[in-house]
Amino acid sequence: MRTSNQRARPKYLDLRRIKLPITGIVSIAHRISGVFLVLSIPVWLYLLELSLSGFQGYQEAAEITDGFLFSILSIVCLWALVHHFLAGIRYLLIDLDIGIEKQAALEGAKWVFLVEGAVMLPIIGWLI
Amino acid sequence: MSARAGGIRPWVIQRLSAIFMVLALVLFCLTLMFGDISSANEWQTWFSMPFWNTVVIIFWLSLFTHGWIGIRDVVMDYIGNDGIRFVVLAVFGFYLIAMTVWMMKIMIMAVSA
Repeated sequence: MRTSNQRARPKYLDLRRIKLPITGIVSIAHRISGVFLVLSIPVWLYLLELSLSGFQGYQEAAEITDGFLFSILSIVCLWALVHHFLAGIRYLLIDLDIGIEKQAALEGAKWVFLVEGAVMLPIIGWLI
Repeated sequence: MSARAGGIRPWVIQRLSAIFMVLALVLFCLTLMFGDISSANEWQTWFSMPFWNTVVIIFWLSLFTHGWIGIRDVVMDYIGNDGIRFVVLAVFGFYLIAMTVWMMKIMIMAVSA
């Protein structure tokens, strides 16, 4: 007989039932930022193509990247990239058995957000 | 990423591509900071140099491969329905192939300019 404690084990992750510790927040943000960065690829390819298409295209690309809308987009993308980068380095360290104990893992996750803030705040200030 | 999803090979590719992209990004940032690229001409010349052209192409290929493995893992973790999963993976697969073709076109244009 099945009691309330023996619920059917979920086969897939149910996002509504998960309460995340800070390590989990770093992890899910790693995934979200990754998907976001993959989706942003056409923007960067378009700008690269434009900027390499000759003098006029280079000027046009420079004008686009000087615009306000682009600053917003580049802040979001840079934020995603910085988070993905730092969390990724954390995973590489974890692969090397660095920072895998519970306390060290929590510390590592805190460091990701601390460094992320330290990197992003000046960049946001500079781009706005 | 989920080790259970696809064996050791994607796991290794995911890490190697990550490390390559980190190194390439550092080189690219250094070039932008100290390389004194300030005109369309210098920008084009930089991309047409065989060494940098190759680094940039490998960077994009690493990015697309890394993105594919990452998306694959996320989709396999959160989408339980086989049909939807297939469609989403197919869409992302074609998307990344299209990006690869576009990137190659741009890089060939950069060399021949």
